[in-house]
Amino acid sequence: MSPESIALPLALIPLLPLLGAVLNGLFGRATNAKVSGALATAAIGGSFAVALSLFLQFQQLPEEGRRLLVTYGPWMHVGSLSLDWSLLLDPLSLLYALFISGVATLIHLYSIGYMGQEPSFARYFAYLNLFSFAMLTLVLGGNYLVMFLGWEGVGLCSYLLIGFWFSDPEKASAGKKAFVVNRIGDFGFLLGAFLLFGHVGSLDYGQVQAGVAGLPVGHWLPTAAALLLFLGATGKSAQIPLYVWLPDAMAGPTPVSALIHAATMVTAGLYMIARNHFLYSLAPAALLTVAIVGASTALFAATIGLAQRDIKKVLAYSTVSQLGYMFLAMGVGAYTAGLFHVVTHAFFKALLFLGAGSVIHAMHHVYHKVHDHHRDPQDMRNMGGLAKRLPITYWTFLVATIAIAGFPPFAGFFSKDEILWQAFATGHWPLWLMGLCAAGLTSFYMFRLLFLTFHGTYRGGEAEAAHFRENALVMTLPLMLLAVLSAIAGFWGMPHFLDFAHLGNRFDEFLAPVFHSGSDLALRHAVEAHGNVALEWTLALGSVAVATLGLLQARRWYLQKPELAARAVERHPRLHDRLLNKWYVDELYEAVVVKPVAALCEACSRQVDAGLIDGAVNGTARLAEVAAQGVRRLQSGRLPHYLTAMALGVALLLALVFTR
Amino acid sequence: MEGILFVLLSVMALGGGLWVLLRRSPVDSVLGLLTTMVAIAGHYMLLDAPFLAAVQLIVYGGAVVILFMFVIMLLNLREDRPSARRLAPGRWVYALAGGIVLLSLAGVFQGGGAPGSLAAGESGTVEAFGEALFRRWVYPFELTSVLLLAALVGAVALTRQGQAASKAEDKA
Amino acid sequence: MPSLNHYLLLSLLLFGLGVTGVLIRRNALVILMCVELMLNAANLALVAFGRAGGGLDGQAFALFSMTVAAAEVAVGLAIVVMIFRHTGSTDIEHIRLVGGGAEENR
Repeated sequence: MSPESIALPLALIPLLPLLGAVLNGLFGRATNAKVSGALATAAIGGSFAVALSLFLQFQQLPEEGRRLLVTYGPWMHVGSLSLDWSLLLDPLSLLYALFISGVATLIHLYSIGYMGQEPSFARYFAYLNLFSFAMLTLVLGGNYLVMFLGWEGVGLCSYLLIGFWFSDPEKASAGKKAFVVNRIGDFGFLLGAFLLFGHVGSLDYGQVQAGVAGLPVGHWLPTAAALLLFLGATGKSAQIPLYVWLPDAMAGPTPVSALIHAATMVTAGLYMIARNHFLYSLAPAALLTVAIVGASTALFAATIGLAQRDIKKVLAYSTVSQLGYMFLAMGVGAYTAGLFHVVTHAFFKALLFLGAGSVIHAMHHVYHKVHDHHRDPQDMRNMGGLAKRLPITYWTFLVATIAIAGFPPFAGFFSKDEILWQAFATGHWPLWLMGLCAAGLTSFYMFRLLFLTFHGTYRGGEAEAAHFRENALVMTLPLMLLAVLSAIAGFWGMPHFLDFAHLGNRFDEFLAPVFHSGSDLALRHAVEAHGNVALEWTLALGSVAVATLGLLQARRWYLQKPELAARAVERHPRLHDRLLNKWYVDELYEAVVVKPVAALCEACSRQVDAGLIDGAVNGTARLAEVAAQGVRRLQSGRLPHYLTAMALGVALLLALVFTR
Repeated sequence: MEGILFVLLSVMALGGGLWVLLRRSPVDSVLGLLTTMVAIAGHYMLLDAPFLAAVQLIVYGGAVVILFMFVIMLLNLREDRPSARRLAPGRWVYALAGGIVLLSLAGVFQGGGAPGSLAAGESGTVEAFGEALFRRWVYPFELTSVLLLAALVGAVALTRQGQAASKAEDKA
Repeated sequence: MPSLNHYLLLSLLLFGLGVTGVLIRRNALVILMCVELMLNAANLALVAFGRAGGGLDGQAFALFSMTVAAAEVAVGLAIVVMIFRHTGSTDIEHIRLVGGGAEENR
């Protein structure tokens, strides 16, 4: 296995979905939804197959050899700038490529069912494939510029897909918001990249890593670059302050929310930090910033999720919150723990969204049957008792809910717990506490969602409820596969103190070559060397206890005694209002950022464009006019003027003649 | 002797000019013009141009001045009103213009500073003139006759048009 | 014995008077008279120069000048008469046959 031998297959991974996108874009309309969807699914499925085969080959390589850079040709050679098209295959990029293409394949399959009645299906599948291409380019890129190509590409596709039903101005607006907010982050990314280029003279990962290696810890360059790149991450991965687009992004089709905003695009920021771990290791201030932002976001978003009524909005804020955990992990140096949560979260969050989609799809179907087009099929207050009507959906959703709440033995427990442990062990107790509280809230609002949607009685009435049908296999198969993954994925990354079966932490081992210089592994070994197993047990049990508390409280309020929930809202109206209205952050941004910028634009438009530029142009015309008016006075029609003019002219001529 | 004549004639010419300029009545101005014409004729005599002096008296004194007189009487012009005599006050920029022209002409003195003596050149007798006119200057001579014809026709045509128009107005 | 310069000075003064008259007076006829003054001044200069060493050329030139002046007076007076018939006055301030200057076109 050498760069030459993998050049073609590696390129196929992103290019297959690109091909799918082109084909669907040009010809998809002529076929039907099933064919178009099958084509798209086959394309991304092909990527997954290739990635899997590369993975199997990769296992044969020794640890030192697990980094293959394939250069395909020059991109830009201008002066001292020399950039090539290159793809990098190492454990990190391979891991991402695998779970991205895998989850994406399942979601493409699901979409065939979900979007079966959509008239613009070809456009949908084209965009979905295009997004996959961009995301795979992002993670497989060998230098910052190829990554940025993918970075921008996913942003674009996100915009296209969120605003898929663009004839609705609200949805179009949501797409626009996503793009604009991301742009701010992208700006930070670019500045960071430029900074690194300025210092090192190259944008290739390896060369940059070598180039900054000699700098002392805490030097301004890596700190600045790290923070700027992190700004890009907050945009893409929806952290404070640039998370505001993600809840609005729920305007897009639910499979889109599953793919982009749960499993893939939002994980790009984390990939970027992992890729740049060498930079962050040189910038403790930046790392701390990342950790604080992550923990704060985790807690903040969780509070908002408590009061939401739209099933997708709850999941959106849950995503923001879980992403916060991942950044917290990165920030305390536990890179692999963060990445582990990325993978497990991809499984159960995608499952949650697809399950929600299944519910919404069924609700739509029922409303259509009773000719009701006014009620919101996404509002949980219209649901209830769906466990019996949509059994597969319910059981898979239950698995995901348990996973995300952090109950063992499902995946979420292992990954989340690892993060909390790392936070505590590195001395960041306040952050650990914030994470713990957020875990409790997570459990609460997720079970709230589960109980409101699937338990109790259907709030639309018995007659209506009879119309419910479980969805087709095309939709339920992905649900089941993801449920299995959410259940067992945890065992791939067993922490030492629980490793009764001596499975070893395969996840960490797989990623080890990437983080040679990272503090992560050294730290882990140091901590485990102290044998503080008792502490680990304590903390783990504490997490589970907190999660259980959340579950019980949700059960009390939403299953057993709903009137208690209502009374709690009555007793704290202001707090509830703030939670329901997402702490009015959007309104704050509107007032502090949007309005001044809009006013500036208005002023520029009026004063600079209309006033200055138009004024200059018009002014030139007016100048000609005024000059003409002035000169016209010579033609007064009055003889004395003419005579004088003649006399002066003659005098001038004579003067000229006599002075030569 | 010649010097005294020169001075006298010059005073006469300049005085006539001022008269033209400054008198209110157009008739007075015409008389001033006549004075100047005669003085100039005298200068021509001093300059050995008798033929020219004669022509000056005939053409200018006898025709041009008379024409002016005719027109004044035809139009029954009275004295110019005082306000009408000069242009509005403050318009002395026109006078200034005149002065500037004058000064420009003073450049003519730049050339030879020594007062050129008027040597006894060819005498402008009738015979000499006729000789010059019909030999050397025959083409301009013929052309001026065409010019005179044009002027004649033009003058008549102009006034005829006007008459026809006013007659039509009278009838209407 | 008057020299060339004397004649030129006289010519100059006469011409200056003519120009001033043209610019100052408002009566069209008087203006024409001043034009005649100018022409005469020029003729005088011509003859003087001719006398100073140019044969009869100066005088011939002056003769033609006179001819043209006569023709010009004839036509000019005809025009003045026409204008008088049209506007009832020989005051050049009252002749506004050409459309406006600054005053009219606003």
